[in-house]
Amino acid sequence: MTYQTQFADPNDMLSSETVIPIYQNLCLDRMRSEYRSQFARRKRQLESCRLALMALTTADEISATPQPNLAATTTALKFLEAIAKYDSAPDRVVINLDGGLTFYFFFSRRTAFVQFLNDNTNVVAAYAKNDQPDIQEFAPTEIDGAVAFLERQRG
Amino acid sequence: MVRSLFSKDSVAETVPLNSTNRAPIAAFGADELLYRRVRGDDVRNNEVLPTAFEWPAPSVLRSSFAEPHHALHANCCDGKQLPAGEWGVAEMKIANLPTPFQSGNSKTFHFFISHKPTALCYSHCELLCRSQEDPADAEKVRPSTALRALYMIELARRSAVRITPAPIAVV
Repeated sequence: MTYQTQFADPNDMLSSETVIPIYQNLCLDRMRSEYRSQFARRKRQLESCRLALMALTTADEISATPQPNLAATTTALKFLEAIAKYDSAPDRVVINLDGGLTFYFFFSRRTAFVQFLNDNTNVVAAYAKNDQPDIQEFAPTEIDGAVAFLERQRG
Repeated sequence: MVRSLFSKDSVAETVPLNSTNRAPIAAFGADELLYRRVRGDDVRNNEVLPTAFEWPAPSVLRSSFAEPHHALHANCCDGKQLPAGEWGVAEMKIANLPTPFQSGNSKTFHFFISHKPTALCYSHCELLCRSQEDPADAEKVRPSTALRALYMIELARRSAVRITPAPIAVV
């Protein structure tokens, strides 16, 4: 009988030739699923940031906060694109009281922030309650260095 | 409930001192507190974030002549009525001001407070910072962007939330 022939030897079902491809496919499916999930989350975060940036560029009547200018928002958007490669996105986007934008990243041990000022200067910094803050200025063309600084704080 | 003080029914109880017939008082007590209004964006887990401050001269109220909630009163906000609950108040003890402090290039900086009453807000002050080498009238010279960040971090680390603003929608 066909049935008996196919499953006559149960060891055939457990051979590496049989199991490994199934296991690989399961792993691949799982990875694809996780990637899709992470990608969707990252996309949502980045979209939120972009929307926040757009909202923040409207003048704040109450605090008389200066509107972030084109230089600040342009560099901020480039920074968002750069950190997207690391599956990262800001935890908070805040308008600076003295002009420009700040991205906050709340890591487990330190708070980090990146500021894009209206005078076209930028700074990335990290601090905790009682330690010496680390601070680094960067030009709009040095975004990769700022991203590397940020990634070092993550650990 | 502090926020209830800002309802229309109770504004009369919370009007800050005006400056009529009152001159600025240059001396500050070390135990005196400074009150600063902060946005919901500038508070996280009851800690004040650096963006609560700006360069060069963040406004504060001195506790000798103000209650914390006066920092949210229209008379101390250029006549603007703040949306209820969206803003909070941070406080900082004068003795805890980070002064002097060292910048990355070994320069020494000093914080100091200047009592600058406005017509309707007698307790209004400005928190200033200048390099030790700078002349006294140079406090508003723009520092490097890195030093500005350090200044804001140092102020934030020494501040505490007195009136908690409404939680914000985190991006």
